Amino acid sequence: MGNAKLLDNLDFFEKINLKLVSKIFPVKRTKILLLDKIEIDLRETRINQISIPPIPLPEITSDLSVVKPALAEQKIAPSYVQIITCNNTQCSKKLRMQIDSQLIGRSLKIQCPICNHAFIYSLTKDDLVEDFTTWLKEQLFYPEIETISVLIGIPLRVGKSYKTFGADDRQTTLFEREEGDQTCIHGVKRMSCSICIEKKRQDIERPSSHVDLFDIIFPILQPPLGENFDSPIAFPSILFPFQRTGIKFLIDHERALLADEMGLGKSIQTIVAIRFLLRMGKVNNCLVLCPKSVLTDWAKKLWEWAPELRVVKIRGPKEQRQVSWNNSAHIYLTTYETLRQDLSASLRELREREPKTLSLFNDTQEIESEEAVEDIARKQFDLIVLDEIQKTKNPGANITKASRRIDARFRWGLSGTPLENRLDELISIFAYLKPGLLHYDDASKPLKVKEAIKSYFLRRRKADALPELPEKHHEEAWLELSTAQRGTYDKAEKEGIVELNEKGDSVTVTHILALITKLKQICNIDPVSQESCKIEYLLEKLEEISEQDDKALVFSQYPEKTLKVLEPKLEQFNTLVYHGSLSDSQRDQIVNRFQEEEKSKVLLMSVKAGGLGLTLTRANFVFHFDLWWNPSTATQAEDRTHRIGQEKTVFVTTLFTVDTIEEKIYTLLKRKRELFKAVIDDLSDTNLTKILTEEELLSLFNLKKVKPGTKPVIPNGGLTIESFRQISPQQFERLISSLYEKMGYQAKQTPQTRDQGVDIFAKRVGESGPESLAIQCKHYQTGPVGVEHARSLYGVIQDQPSITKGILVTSGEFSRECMEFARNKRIFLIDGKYLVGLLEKYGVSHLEFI
Amino acid sequence: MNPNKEEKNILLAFLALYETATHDGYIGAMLVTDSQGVPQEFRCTHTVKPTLIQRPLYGDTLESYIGVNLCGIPLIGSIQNKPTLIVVHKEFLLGVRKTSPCPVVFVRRAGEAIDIKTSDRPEVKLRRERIDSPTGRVQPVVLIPHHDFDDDIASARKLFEGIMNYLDPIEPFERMAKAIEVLGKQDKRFQ
Repeated sequence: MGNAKLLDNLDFFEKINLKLVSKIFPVKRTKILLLDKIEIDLRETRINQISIPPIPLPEITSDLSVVKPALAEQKIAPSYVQIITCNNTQCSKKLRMQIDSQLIGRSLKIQCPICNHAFIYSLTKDDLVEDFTTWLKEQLFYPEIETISVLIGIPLRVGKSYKTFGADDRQTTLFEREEGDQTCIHGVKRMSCSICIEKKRQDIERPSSHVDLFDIIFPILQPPLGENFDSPIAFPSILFPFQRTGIKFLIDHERALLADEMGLGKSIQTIVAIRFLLRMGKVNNCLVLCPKSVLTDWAKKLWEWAPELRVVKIRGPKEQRQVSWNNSAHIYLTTYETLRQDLSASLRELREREPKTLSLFNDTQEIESEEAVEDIARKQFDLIVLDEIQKTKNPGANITKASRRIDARFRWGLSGTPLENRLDELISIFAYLKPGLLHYDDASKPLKVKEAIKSYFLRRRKADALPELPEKHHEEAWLELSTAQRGTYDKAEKEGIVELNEKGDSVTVTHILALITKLKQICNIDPVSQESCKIEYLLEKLEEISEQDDKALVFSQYPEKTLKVLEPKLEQFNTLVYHGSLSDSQRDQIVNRFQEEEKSKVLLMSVKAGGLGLTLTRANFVFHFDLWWNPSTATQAEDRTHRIGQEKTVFVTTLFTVDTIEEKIYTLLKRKRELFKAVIDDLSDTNLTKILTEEELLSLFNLKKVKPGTKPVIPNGGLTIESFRQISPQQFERLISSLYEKMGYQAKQTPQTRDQGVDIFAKRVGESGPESLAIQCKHYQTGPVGVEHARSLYGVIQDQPSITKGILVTSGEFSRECMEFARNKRIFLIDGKYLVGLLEKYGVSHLEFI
Repeated sequence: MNPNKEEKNILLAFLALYETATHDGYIGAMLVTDSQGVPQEFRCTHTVKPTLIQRPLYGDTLESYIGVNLCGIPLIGSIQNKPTLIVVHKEFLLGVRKTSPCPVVFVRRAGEAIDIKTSDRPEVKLRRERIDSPTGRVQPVVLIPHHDFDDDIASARKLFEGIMNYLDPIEPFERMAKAIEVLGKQDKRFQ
């Protein structure tokens, strides 16, 4: 208020009502006044209002675009709205004016739309109020119109019928049964259907990713175990008193080592004991570990001696094993190696997830594993049986470590070897069977060891059981062909059937026998890979026999194809060979050596040569490596050892392979048991056709003899391999395309050029999903198809994951390299002979394409 | 106790609808067994996954539509071994009865649900029968037929009285659930 200028302008005070103070607070100096408040009343004031216009609704135009408008940065020039009053005092209407920034600072001539009065209006920026209406309008987007489907599509249905078995054969659903003359989904007999046979072969050979899912879940769909023991316990044959003693020994001992000599029936005693324990409720499940060579034999014995128990054989691809382990069963049957494989990585995972759980296990060392199965580490078993337990004598071996991780209440070991003479092994074995019973220091104290294990150890020699045993004891060993053997066998069978078919009514028993012989030789030993499941089994058994100071005779019908191969493989037993081509003196020498030399444990003999007045009573084990037609011939061979002078029971074992011609012949002959008896009684070398008729022999390959006098109807116009000479390569491709269409595929030929090495693409939807084939046709009249074509096709299918399989078809043959390359790959080879068979089966005639 | 000759020829079908582990889809499954529960055939569908929009649009009808129209009826048509009776584990699956060639019943444990009448109209009252196991091995169950096919209850009762000596009619659904779970782990078409 010290401003003199302000005090001069008294007009200011006329316009205001100034109330300075209502109270004055005197202070020390009068120049300072404290005022409690100041009120200023401004008269004639005017309030300026800003009108915000409403945002107009967006316009919907006809050119609606479904494409989202691009959002661009729009530099919108600001616009302003000004409310001005008409200068006409009689009007004084408020006008809303939209002004652009360009007009700022300019004088505008305004005409009032109401009174038409014109006046000048000068615009300054300070007077303006920015109008955001336009800006807001620009930001509004037209919504998209989207079509939303409410339809939910019907899903694809998949699945499988398991109804190939009778309802009362509950356990057989876990094993394959012979399919006989059943018709497959392709409308032909299963045994003749090349697609089903090939699918079955590939199911065995394929990597794990191609397993049928519905086979994997089949065990899960089984009813629960429950109480299946309503029926009285029954046995397929009489148990000897010593076997009943053994069974009781096992039942009464949670920890036991049954060490009977080979041939006394350890497996059978164990199986019966398991049955009793299950019925008594003392155990709920059981794990049986055995060597691979006897796995199938165990399965067969379990089926025979414990039909009411659910047995799961753990083998096959990883996914199959996983489901099998996780499924409920009375008995889990597997090999040491499979257990090792499936247990180790499962433990590793468990270790990572739950370190505390490790305390449940008695060994924490790592084991290498290739493929693992979940949850096996958590599985609890009430009873574990270790067959050939001497295989786990080495505590450092991986299979030993794996098997000893199983913490079962009942632990039984089976062994035929004389363990009582091997204290180190005994101590190692009992370290698992009965921990703490023995110590490694006790190896030098045999008496102490024997005394300690007395309660847990039972061993009977054949001499002990002799009064109860028959003079001769027969047994069958059923084995599975190895993978390589199976491949060779199936191929030979297919080709053989095609050849027999080609012969038509000129086929004779001789032709059939030739094929049977070839197949039986493959069952013995695979000529390509030299693999043999029978040799594996024999080696296991001969080791035991050798260790218990017994000797064995091994008979075969094929001295050249079988015995010659066997001899070097059984070298460790100082094997001797006796066959017809030896001179008399040589034969005598061999017989004497076998009878007198302790180191010669095995004598290989051809059936015919061995059946001539020989005395080989030193041996009490006989193995028939393959089955002779006439059982009396086999009996004669066995009688070289089962005769006067023999002091021991003679154990005869015949080796068979499942799902082969041997099994078919066995089944056929079994049906003719009555005729057998007559033949045996005659003890003569009966003509084969007196045992099996020609029709029966043909039926082994699902063939039928054409009646004489009738012309055989050959639907394809008499197609042979030579017939292919009549057609060109293009016609050959059309022929193959037509064949696959008949097989249920949709086939499409590729253009002649730029076909990328594929002549035909074929597709169909099978039970397990879509199948897509890439087919290459090689119409070769001379020379085999080389490996380069197989490589080329393989390269094509590798680049196209949608292709299931590659097919290489030729009217001729494949080279050996080509066949070897295609093995175990997604390539299937069809040579001329096989092609003829397929064309005949599906009724495709080459004449249509000429 | 073993089944008699007549019971041996009986085939039962168990029809179920399962939700996937991620709760975003459904799988229909049908297991055909003999009178002792041994599987004869198994069929299932690939996963049906309704979209986020379809779910609210279908609302409460979603499960029954998928279960009956998309899965149940096609599954019944696809099985090779024709059953004597179809058993379902959810009441809405009774809808398959309209096209089913054989009786269909819904089965649940006796005493596990309280029935609330939603209408006084006699025609909506559902018939139900309690079946006890003659040997006591299996817990009693209640059978409920489709309301338009009351006669199914009589044939179902006769059948159940025989088979409940050795088969719990609820148990196969547990097996199927486990099988579907395994399928889901093995193949993404069932996830």
